[in-house]
Amino acid sequence: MAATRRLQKELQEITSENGLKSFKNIIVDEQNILNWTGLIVPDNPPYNKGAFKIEINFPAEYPFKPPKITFKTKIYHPNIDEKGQVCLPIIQAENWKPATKTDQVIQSLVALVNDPEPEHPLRGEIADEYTKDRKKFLKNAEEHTKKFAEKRPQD
Amino acid sequence: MDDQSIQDDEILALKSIYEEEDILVFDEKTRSGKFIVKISSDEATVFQLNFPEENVQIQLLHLTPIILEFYFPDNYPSVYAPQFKLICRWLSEDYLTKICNKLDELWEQNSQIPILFTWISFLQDEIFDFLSLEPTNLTIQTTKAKKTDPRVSSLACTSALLTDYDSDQKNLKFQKSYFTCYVCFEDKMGKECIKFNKCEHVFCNECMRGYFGSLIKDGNVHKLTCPQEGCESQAIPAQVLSLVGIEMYNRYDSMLLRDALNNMTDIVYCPRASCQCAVIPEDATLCRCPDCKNVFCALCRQAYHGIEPCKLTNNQLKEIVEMYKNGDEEIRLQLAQKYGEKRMKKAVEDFSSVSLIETTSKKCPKCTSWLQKIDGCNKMTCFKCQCYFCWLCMNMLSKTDPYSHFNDSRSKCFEKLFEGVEQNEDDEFEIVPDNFD
Repeated sequence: MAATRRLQKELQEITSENGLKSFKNIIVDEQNILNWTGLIVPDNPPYNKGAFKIEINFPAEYPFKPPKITFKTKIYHPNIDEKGQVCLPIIQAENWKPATKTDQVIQSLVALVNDPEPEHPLRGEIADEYTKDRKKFLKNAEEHTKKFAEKRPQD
Repeated sequence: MDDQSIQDDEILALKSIYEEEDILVFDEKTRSGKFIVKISSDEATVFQLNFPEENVQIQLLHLTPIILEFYFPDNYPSVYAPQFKLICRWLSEDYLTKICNKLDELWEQNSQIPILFTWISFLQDEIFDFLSLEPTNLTIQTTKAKKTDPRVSSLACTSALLTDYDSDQKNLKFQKSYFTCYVCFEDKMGKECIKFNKCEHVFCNECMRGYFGSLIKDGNVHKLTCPQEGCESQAIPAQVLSLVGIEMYNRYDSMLLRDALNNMTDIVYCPRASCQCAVIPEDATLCRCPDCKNVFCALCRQAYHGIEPCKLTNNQLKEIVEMYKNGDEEIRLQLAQKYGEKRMKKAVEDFSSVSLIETTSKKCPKCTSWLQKIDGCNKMTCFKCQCYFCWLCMNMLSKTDPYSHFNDSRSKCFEKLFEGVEQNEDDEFEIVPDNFD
């Protein structure tokens, strides 16, 4: 199966020493290589105090069809909704390119977490707060991170 | 060692130096052969040729070869030099004559020892310097020289001939080179790969067959582009054909044609299920199918009925179908007598598939293509016309900022980007509706 072979290679690369610094504790479902979980470790406040668990689901037609990403850890973020859904242009069906690698997708996701895009929010009220009252946003997001986020893995 | 052994050794040595196939041919019986001297640039400098007669300029990586035909006399190398002939396209007879004299001179300097390697090296490496020619500015002259050496032959030289040879060589080189396909991350030989014309990105045939096949199956016929991030080079039809095969290609081709026709508003499709040919109405209602000769009304798509009003509107037909489906034997018989049994059965079939489509799909507000949403958020992109619209209220969305529809508190779909989207708690039980193609 094309998906399996490619994912094995991607996994090897992503978990190697030159892999991503901002994506740790990658666990692949033993029964199903199409299902990954891992921890996003953002660098920018207010998210740099914790780590966020995400799930990546690759379709059987991967890499001809894009993967799907959901946050399993609650996060206070203008671009990620209560259910953990996120709109990431790079993996939208109409933009997807099969040569795009998972590490590029994760990098784009981490960039979005680090630097929210209040112009394209999924949660209008948080986006409003982010643009109008940054102090309050930072406070709320930090509290939220402390309460819900996972511990950051040791390097 | 006798002359013949020296000759055989020379050929053997040359064959081991020049491993490339067919570059050196030698016939032991006739003691004659030929060597193909390839003239290729080192990618950094590109040959530039001017054709004053055609008034064109071309740039090439490979020039057609200089062919050295030779014959070993019995007492070569002890007494005589090999007899030879020089054949080339882009060098004039004048130049070739000069080269002949130089080869004679080289023999004089090195007589009684095998000379071919010296000659070949000279032809390969020194002719531009020797003739004081600039590889980046070569002018092709086709005028015949007055006095030429009988051992030279200058073949026809046109820009088309040289360009063809250049692209053949490039292709040959491509076929033999290794590439990493960035879809499967495997190294493949060029002959198992395709190169996109505009961007020159290379991917393996196996991956591209899978990718294009998947796009065609989904009806995304306008997206057969290079799979590199951010690259929009289109695959040419010949590439698509060689990858996906004739059956899938025909499907792709007819979808492209249908799309093009759909953009022409005055097209009506022949109602015969087996025909479905695109027809341009002759007046407001008269359509004559050029393929099956069916004559029908452009409005109701029933048999042409002149100035009579259309007998059945779609809704009326729907009502009759309902009656037929729910009615008892007697009612069915009556309806079948009135409208024809075949037509009734066909109508029932049509409506059941239409209602199936209607329950699972919606029409694009711009181009009215049927769309089925399998998953993802409510900002839809029409697979056909690429417009954005909202799956909930079916309004078209801004091309520049489609998400504002879900973010503006005044919008009726405020914060509903993911409304109605089912979360897959357990993927094993994920059911993907796949009711129709």
